[in-house]
Amino acid sequence: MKPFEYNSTEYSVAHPSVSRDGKYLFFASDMPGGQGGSDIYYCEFVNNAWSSPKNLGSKVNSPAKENYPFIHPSGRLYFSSDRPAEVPGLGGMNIYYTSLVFGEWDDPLLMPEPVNSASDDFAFVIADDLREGFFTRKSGRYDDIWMMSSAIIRKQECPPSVRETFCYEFFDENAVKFDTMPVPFKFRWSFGDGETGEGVTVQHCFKSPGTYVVRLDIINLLTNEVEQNQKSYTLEIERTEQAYISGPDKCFEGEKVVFDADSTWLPGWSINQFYWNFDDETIAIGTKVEKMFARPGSYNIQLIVNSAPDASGRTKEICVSKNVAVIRKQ
Amino acid sequence: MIFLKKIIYTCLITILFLMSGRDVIYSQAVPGQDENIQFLVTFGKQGETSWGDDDFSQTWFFAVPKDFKGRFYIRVFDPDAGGENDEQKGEWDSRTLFSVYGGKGVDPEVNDDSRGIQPTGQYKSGTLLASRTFGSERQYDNKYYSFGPFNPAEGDYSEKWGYIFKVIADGVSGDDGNLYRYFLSREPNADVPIEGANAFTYEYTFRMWNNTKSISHIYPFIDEGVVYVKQKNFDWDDDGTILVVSRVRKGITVPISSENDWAESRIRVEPAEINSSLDFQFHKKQEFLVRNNNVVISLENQRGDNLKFFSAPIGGVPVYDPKIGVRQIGK
Repeated sequence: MKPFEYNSTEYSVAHPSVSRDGKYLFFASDMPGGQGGSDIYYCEFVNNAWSSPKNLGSKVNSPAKENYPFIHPSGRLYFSSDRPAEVPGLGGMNIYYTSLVFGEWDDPLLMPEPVNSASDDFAFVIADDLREGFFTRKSGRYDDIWMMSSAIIRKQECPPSVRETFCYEFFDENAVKFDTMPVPFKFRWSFGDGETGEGVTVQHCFKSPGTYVVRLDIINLLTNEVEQNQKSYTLEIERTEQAYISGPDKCFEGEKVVFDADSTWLPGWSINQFYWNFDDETIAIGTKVEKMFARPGSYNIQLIVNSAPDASGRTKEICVSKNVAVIRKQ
Repeated sequence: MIFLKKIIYTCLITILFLMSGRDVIYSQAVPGQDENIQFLVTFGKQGETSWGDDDFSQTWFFAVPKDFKGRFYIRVFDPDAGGENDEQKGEWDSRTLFSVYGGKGVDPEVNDDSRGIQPTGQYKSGTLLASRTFGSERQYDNKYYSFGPFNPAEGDYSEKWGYIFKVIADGVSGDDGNLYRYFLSREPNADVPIEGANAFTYEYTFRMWNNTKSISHIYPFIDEGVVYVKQKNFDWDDDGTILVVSRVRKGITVPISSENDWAESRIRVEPAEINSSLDFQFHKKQEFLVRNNNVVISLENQRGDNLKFFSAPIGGVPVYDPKIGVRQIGK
């Protein structure tokens, strides 16, 4: 064990919180050069050493005291501050959170009641899935630890929603493998959906699943003869069994956008619920939902689909996610 | 072990030989039915090589199956040089010597000179069974002359090919082009094929079609161990395209010669082409007709051994068989 290299006899250095990847250390300090009181700083671990502390800036730090930083794996930074709260009835010290938006720490938001209260609330930590958290509340002369829990469901494992394209590459293996010299032929493909292509290797995207008979005709350029149906291939395209999020990849803050799960394909499922988590502590239920993001940033939307219990009482659940960039309105 | 391999190889060749794309092989017509070649050509030795014959001599071999016991004839269609079909240069003065050989020394796999790539050395090896020299003779113009009868046992016995007979056409004098065909027949006066017989040469001298649409073919057989073949063609007069087709290749083009010169190139042989025939297709120039084009072609493998062209392709006419591959993308 060894002391942190930026400890000082001149000021306090306290409340460390290290990012999950071990690269960033957040802490509170009243070292000179801050915004006033104690501020939140961070150091980056570079070349086996911590870099010089950097102040998180005037959006996060204020002339009042900021301390108890906690960096969540999602990148969200929780901290406590005794700055005047804009919400009436809250006590001197309250819990805030912020995150990096396009490289800058954004204006902090107050954690809603009942986490914040008329008393001092501080030293907040929360689990990876945001379902349970702990913080300290001043109660009379003493401090107590409180636990909060959230009904909001957020999955830790939730792969990206995969867009089905039904795209294929067709090629004549022999021509690709063996013909190394210029050949006096044209390879013409009929994809079975009314579309055609030319070349030894061609790519084609079908509009929908189905059965397609792909046919290869070869045109002899020496004789101009079309050697029809030299070979055919029956392609069976099936939909991917998955939940699917349809919606924009980006939008403006304050803009109303729609997300839907209409392209979800889960044959055999008796679907009970489409549950949406918008990564901003809000949720929605339904196959098609409207959403308006209040703040710019990068959001990882989750769609959690679960089935009604089967005869033996078992349920199934699947989660897919989609990243949405919310852009600040100019 | 080597002996066993030899037996297996011989059996394989025999099976391919007998199957040959049809129920039974009947290849006694030279040129063969699948070759779509009208005539072989041999010029008198006073001719010029720029007329399409590099050496004024052509050698063919007839293989009679070992189980055939009857008599047979080697018929020559239009053996004279005059009248119809032939190529006149001034007065009709060419004399062509047709010689039939059997017995020891004929087998070209034993005696390299016997292949007749060049009419030098022991190319007339074997026992002379029959011969006749033809000038301009109306009685044989556009008609058959039959050599024989021959007994199969008069041939040079080969375990692989049966009884082998050799026919050499030498342009002994004059300068006209003699255009002719052969037929191995059971009968002297009719073309009656012998089941399981075949014919082959190592250097093919023939007349291209006098129209732009007809496509001629020759079918070399690719033996075990062939890595590449070197094709040599002579006096093609830049007349169109030579396309090499196999079961796994739709067709590659090879360089062709112009007037009175040779063109040669290497063609890599794929493993899938071993023990099968290639199809050398001769497509005429489409822009205008090159008339009376006589040409020469031969092949050799990477060891310099000449390859046989069979009048009936062993294993059948190779037809390109595309193999469609499919791969999902964009996932």
